[in-house]
Amino acid sequence: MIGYNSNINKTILLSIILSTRLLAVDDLSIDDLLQDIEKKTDLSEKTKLENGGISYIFTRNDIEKMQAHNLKDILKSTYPFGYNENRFGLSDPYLVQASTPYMSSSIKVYIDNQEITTGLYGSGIILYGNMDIDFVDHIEIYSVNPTFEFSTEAAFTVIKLYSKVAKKDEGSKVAISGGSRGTKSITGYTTSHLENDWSYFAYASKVDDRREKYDNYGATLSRDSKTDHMFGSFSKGNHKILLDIISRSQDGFIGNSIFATPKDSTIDTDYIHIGYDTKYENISFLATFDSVNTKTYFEDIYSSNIAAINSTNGTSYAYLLDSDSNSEVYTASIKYNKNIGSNKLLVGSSYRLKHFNYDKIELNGEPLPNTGHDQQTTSTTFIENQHSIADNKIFTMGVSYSIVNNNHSNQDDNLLSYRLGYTYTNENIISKTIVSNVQIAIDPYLVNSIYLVDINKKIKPTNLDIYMEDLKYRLGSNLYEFIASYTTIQDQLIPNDAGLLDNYDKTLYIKSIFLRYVREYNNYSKFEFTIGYNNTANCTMDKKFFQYASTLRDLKTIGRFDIFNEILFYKDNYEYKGFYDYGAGVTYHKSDDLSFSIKGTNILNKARATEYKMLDPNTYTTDSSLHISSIDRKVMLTMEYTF
Amino acid sequence: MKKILILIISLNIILADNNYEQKLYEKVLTSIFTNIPIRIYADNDTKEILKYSSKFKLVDHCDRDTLILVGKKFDNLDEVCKNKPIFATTYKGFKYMKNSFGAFYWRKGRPQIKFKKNMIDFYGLDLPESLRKYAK
Repeated sequence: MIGYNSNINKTILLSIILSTRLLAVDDLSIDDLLQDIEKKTDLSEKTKLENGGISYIFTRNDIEKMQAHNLKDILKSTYPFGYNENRFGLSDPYLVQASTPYMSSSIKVYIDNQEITTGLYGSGIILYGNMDIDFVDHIEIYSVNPTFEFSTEAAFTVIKLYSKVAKKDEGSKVAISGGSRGTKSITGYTTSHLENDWSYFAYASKVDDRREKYDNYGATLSRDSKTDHMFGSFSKGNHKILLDIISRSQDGFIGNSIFATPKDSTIDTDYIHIGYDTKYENISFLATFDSVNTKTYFEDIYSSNIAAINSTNGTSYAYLLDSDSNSEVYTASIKYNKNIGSNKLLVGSSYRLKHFNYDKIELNGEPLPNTGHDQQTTSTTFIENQHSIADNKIFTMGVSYSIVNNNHSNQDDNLLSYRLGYTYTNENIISKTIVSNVQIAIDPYLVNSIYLVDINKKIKPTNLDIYMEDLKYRLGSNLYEFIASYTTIQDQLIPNDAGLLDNYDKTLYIKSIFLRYVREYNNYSKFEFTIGYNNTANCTMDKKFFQYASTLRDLKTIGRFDIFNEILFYKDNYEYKGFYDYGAGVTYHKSDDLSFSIKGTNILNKARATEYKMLDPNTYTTDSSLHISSIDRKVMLTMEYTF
Repeated sequence: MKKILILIISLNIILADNNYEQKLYEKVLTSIFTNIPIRIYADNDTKEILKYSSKFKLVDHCDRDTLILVGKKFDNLDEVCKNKPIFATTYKGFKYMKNSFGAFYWRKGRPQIKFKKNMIDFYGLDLPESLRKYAK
């Protein structure tokens, strides 16, 4: 009976909303109508998942005004606590003052509906965290185990990059940038409709990113990189083909050096993604292929000292590391959705094969033992249902089961995750209550590896239980949001005193509160303020770990000028110091087709720093450490021309 | 009744896209062509947008009585239609179709209205005051 009444209400409601909105259109000017069309057809309005956990949407207007040419410009201010880079200069947002090789495997990156992934490291964020994003229309970030719809592997955070489409960007654009320390880039795209209703979008970029360098005991720590990137999409109706090619050479920052004194540290990566996805009536199908080749080389200035330590203590600290690895990931998935009365059912199954091999891996001149482990398969089945209890009350239930098998290894995992959600809406309020459980297996590169406390040890999957309330209240052009969450993490992988990884024997308890206020002055101008607090108990520190973070952002259009101001604040009880990242930018639109921009990032040079632990090469003590920010002080000038 | 289901709103937004664009076409074209309903020969994509409007009469084949053509590209037109004015729906169509006098298209993610002054004069069309600022 509820379902029947609900359907009648929906039909009436739809008619009323539609006719009311369109009646008013007759009185609008052409300019108003154009603005309304832009707002109503904003691609982010169509793709966002209102039931998908905590969501952050960066619209095209936000991205352009913020002059966010790089994904980290966006990530640094998002929930829970921004952007970070690890000892290798690689994007690792979840890194928190730790020396675990890679912390961010549970962040999954998608371009449109296709995941960008790697065979060894589990997450595409390692590639895309510091990637140019001029091909992106808008970005959606979902946190707290958002949905099983996208995930072949368990995800805590999903980042969806939606590429530009021919309909809205027909023509071509070229952008040239130059700035601090000789950083320069050129990006461009062309897009058009083809015959037979196909359309294409082709993008290419060349970025020479010069980063702040640091001297340390005679070594220069560098994160400079040169990246060539090509992206192409072909679309027709529900058919989409994506091609993404990246070639990057970068300096490997501290690398494996225990003294943080690399003589040479480089990482060269070649990446290819090819994928096809489609939808026919209620069935969606996807097939993708990802391939990564990575060559790393590291040599320490103090090689002889480290060799002596190894000889004395029986350790195997790296002073010379040379590796050449290849990985391929094949993914196929099928999903079926059906509306049955007041239920919206989604069932899916996916299969992923990861194959990887080291053409070469030598530590201190000796080849590392090969266990034969070169393949991982993940088979996942999920079912998710959205049940409308009433017009404004939705109950979401989902279960996902994955079987992860590693060959030549004792590391096989069966992962069961679930998600319960309740969404309530009225004219002004959206309330989401989510209880979820996520189990995350270790990445292939760690399976029976020398990084573990015991090479033969079977590592338990990390288990997260999350309880979250997200309350949004909209009053006119003001949006107020309050998020409270409580997370427990069992069997987190952490390094012991010798730096070797093992499951943590204590449960981590994380309490978080997050407040957000957004005021939209008009379609193009808005102000945003956020403040967040994290409290982690039982961490390896002697005390609870507190984090505070806040964002103030103002985006404005005044005449032909777009103006952007942003302050990010961060403080924790580890550093006992407040960090401020102030960024500002102005774009001058000389005409519809030509614009000039200037942007400063970390202008005060006080952005959040990460601690990188090291031994003093003179005393061999752990007294000193490096404190380096992932966000450089930088000024960039950009010219964009559309034709 | 005041309570709103988000999924319905999303559906409504998608449905309303075409209606907003239809209203824009109505507003622009009826202020230039006063013989309503305007006989239009449109390509398939544009037909989907205009088909519910009472201001337009869509024809399946371009003939002598067709007033204007609306769409992104027109090949193999009959002789009688080769010189008829075209309102383009893409930037390329506006730029390269010699008969295009105006257009509604998207550039840099934003909707645009444009007119060519020389073609407006060529066809003897009268742009109302509200549209003159879009003409070059």
